[in-house]
Amino acid sequence: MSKVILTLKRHISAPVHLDTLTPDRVCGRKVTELANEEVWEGNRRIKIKTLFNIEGNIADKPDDIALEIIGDLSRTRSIGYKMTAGTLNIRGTGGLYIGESMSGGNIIVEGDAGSWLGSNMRGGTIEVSGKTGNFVGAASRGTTKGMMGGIITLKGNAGNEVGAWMNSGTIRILGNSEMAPGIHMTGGTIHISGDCSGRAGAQMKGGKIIISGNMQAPLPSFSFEEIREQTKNEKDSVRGPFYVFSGDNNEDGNGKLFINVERNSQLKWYEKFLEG
Amino acid sequence: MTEETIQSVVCTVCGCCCDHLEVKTKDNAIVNVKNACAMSTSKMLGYMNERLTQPKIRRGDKLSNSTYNQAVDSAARILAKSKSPLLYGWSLTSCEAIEVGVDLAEETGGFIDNTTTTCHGPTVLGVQEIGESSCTLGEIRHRADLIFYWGANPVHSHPLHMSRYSVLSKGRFRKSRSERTLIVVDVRKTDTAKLADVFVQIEPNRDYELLSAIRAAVRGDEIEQDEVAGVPVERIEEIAEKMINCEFGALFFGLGLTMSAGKSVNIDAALSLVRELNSKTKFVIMPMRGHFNVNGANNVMTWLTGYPYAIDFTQGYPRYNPGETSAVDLLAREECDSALVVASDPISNFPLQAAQNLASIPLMTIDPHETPTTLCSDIVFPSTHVGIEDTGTVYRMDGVVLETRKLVDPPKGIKSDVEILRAILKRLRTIRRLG
Amino acid sequence: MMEKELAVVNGLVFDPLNRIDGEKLDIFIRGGKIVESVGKKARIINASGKTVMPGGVDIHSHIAGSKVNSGRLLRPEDHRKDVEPRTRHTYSGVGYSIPSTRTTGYRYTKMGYTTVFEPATPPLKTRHTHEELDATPIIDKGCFPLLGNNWFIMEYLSSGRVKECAAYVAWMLKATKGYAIKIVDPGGVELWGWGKFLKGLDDPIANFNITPREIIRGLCKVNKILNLPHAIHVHTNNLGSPGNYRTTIETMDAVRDLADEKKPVIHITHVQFTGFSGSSWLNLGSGAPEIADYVNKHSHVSVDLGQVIFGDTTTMTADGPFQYFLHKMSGNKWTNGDVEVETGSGIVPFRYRRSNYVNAVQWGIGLELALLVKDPWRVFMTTDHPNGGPFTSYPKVIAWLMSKKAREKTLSKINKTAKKRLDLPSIEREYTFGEISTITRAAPAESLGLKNKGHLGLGADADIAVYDIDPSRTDPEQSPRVLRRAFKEASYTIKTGKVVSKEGQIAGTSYGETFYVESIVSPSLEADLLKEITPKFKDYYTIEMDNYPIAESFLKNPSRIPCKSEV
Repeated sequence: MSKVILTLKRHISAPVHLDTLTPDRVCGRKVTELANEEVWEGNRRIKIKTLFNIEGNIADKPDDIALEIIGDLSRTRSIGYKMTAGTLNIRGTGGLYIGESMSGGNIIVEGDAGSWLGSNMRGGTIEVSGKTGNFVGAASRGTTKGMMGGIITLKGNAGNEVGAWMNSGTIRILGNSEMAPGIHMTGGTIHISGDCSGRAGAQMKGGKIIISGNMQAPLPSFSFEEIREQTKNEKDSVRGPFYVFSGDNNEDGNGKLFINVERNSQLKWYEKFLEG
Repeated sequence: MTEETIQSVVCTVCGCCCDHLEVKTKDNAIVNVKNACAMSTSKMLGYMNERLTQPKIRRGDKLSNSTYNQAVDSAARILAKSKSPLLYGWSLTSCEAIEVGVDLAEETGGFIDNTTTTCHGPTVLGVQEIGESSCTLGEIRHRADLIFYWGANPVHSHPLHMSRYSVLSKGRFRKSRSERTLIVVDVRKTDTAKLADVFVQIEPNRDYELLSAIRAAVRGDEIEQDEVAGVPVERIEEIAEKMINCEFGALFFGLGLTMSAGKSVNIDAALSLVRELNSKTKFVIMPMRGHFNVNGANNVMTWLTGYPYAIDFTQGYPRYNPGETSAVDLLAREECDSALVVASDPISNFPLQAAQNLASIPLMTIDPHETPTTLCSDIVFPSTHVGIEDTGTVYRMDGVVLETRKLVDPPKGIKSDVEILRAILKRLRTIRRLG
Repeated sequence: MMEKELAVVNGLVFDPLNRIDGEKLDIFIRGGKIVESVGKKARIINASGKTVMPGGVDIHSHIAGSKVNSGRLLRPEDHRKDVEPRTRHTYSGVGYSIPSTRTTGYRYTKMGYTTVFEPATPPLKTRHTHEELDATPIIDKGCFPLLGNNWFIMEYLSSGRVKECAAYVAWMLKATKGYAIKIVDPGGVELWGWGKFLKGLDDPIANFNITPREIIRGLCKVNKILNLPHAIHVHTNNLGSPGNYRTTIETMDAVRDLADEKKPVIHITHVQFTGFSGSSWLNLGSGAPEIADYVNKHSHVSVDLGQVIFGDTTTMTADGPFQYFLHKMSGNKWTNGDVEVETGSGIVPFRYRRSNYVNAVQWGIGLELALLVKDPWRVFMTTDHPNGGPFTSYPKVIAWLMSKKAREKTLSKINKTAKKRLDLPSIEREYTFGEISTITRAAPAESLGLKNKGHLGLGADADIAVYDIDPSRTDPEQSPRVLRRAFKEASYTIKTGKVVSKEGQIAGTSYGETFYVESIVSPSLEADLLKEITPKFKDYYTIEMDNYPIAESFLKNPSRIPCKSEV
């Protein structure tokens, strides 16, 4: 495993697009080549070396590369764009579109991350230790097929519309989620360990959402099915018991919502549907 | 003494763009307006209040008078130096000016955004996912027997809307009020709600849930809850019945829906509901655009760049993603290093953090009036009023295009937005060429 | 000061209107026109070993206006695929199926096209169409106002008042600065105003006491009375329905008795979409042989293809009901825009798949039509951009028409059942360069009555395309790839005597002319007209009549084509 470390050496004041910083795009290059490569900062082309100090050496194969980027990267875009292999470690606040359209490799963000993390993801893994913005694992505007594979794990809280138009893959949120996770989802699994602000699975056609914390109510276009002791988040077992709802009926959907029984006493009245 | 009466004048206040105004001028001033609503009359008779009369440049902490050429040159230099300039506003000026604005944004390699970003942005985002079943306002006037206003209060925001286009208008197939049903959905009983046949009081921020329930009822699916968003399910089912059984339904909506929690998700639900209704009857939906040319800004930007607002030219081609490229978000993340504001007052209506950041970067404004934004600016250009002192095309909320009229001459030395923007663009190109 | 002179020398010229079919000729230009000779200081363009044709004339392409822009707004995902960065001479933009206006102008120019017509503009919103056309650089343009569902027209015709209807149409063409009478799903779009669907040509339209047949016949008569340069341009009823080839033939036949010897009196547009045989999607077939047979036997009609291109595109027409139906069938997002008193529109993204039986048959229908219609002067090449596919696909269509080998290659990849259903595999005909020049330039120009376009005779506008292909050395049948490459990017495109594109690089921007027609009716008829429609206008429209007509000064470069009406 060869390590390449980029340390931010100055303040970023305009958007910086770093879509070329992935193990597969840097592999086989010399450090000086990488340092002289140009990226957009606002409307100017700048050399990477004016932004980062670069140390380490770059292996020939992306699988063998561990790319580390250190600093406050909140104004950057697209780190890890279309990544296929290797490891990318962001130590600091990540920016927008981290890991967009990636299909392999591992991204770790040791800090918060911006919106559109893992947008259009196809494979690989992303892990974020802090909080994330909106549209985690979502489709881009106007498209009806979003995330197609891969695993996203968020240790903190997530914003709105996690997994919008999701088709396949897994998103695990250890903290809370804001509104409408899984909106328009057609497949895949979203597991929220904490609470959800509401509207989980809005207009979903398929897929599964598990809420281990509290959500005030499912949407009125969902039907109560049963209580289940546990369910699966892909291969892992998740202990319930859960109220299980199917929907979104407005889309003739057969998605499933699992809402934890103990944390949601306000949903106890649904149990009347179990009688007879 | 020159007196003139001008007919068929197009109003330049709200998205209704009423064009039946009659204006009387005398000695180059407007003295009387007929057929106009209160907002329009107020603008027509008060357009000379608090006018900016002179270009200004900030020197130290004072805005001092400057010549037009100096101001143009300074503005061009600021834009030439900027890595991420923002060009914002556009909804209160003409399409001709907006076209120059887009070219200026491309030349500067900056961002261009219009007021859609703080009002009907969610509508655009919803349409991009679902599409929009709509029509021109006349279709509604002639055919609609069921009309909704959801989160909109036209009695105050669009005073002539109901009498010209909807429930109080006379159409070929609906000749009187009794032939139409008005349903108003709002968090409180507004003046528009008082005119409704059915008023639905909705719990704040629960619009998505109610739309979802109505759609379920329209589909004939069972709703397990007794009440949604504070509305009993029987009532929801009654509303759904009315919708299915009408001959032509129209749903108008305003900021009460776009700004309710969830924003574009709410519009998604409304668009999806209306789309579904078309399998049972004829139904259309239309956003109540607030400003008289915000739809023009959307249209011009779309035909020139492919995108209706929040456009990023920094990489030499148009990019678009509201949330990333939109003005409020760019300013909240402090990513812009200068701004040109045209015919808008963002300092007054942006969220605090964005407004503060806007005031802290080099700020240039083009506006007829003094506003909090002009007071915070570093360069100010006084400009003319479209539709009063200058012509220009505008787009009504339903996409119908009207050409406004010039009614009076502007005060001496005041130029139009088009002229000022062209001058800045020309100067910028020259500065670039000379290196 | 001497005007700029240009000479395009040694090229192999295909100028069908002047009966030039591959001769080596020099073309001389001065003052934007083709002239007899030029002086020694003329700039020389050496077209040796290259094909020279008049600039392309696209008679039907949705490039500007309200529904086109709604389409752009609907599809940010389409734009992301295909961006155009700014260059020294060009503005940036986006492309693929609904390009931004500047990209539209540049891409047509690069392909050697110099005149394009927007075929469907709702009169009430035509100011928008002109704003967009004027934001489309280089090419000359025009637009066809939609009149086939217009309340005034239906009322005039239902009471047999053809003369008065003609006066109204003349007024409308002037008010919209339009070029021709466009009819889309006559009567059907008015029914769609209520969410209802039309059944046939003789279905009466609710509230209007008229049938589609009567609308078509009435407007055909009006067209003749006004002596308009182009025939009525018709998108028939029942578009997209299995078996609709019969409607096409019925529509063409509906005006047979109105034929004159001079030129066609009806033009059926994108006839592929109304050329389906069969009774359901499962047994859909090609109605091209029947339609072609009719066209071959009757000289009063012309058609354009609406050729399908496999891939992703966006459908957009004024045929609101059809577009709704397409949304239901495909599940794709849908935008609808009815226009009071006049017409409607619908937009649905769509993907044509080789493996899909119906799409494959559709692909075959367009080509069969082109190959079975014998007279290349009455069949024009279009994809009904973007409905069949983006206009940038034209080189593919040219290759299919000129090369059986190219057709066979595609046939081998399409749905096998569809291939069996089509006659296409057995058709041997291959278009010649001259015939291609006819169906992409000469014939559309003639059909539109543009006397100075589509040919390279003396006095013609100097709109010229030079393609890098040598007909004397290339066997087009054997080299479809060479054909596609050559027609994709002209070596030179000359517009009004100036080189505007060289090997795909735009050289300098200008703005072309907007053609519109004015047929002048008698003052008394016009006075009666205004007296009659003024009070009605207030009842019908939501804008003032004063604000409806578009002044000539609104257009950047208007070019008025006067016609003498019979009334």
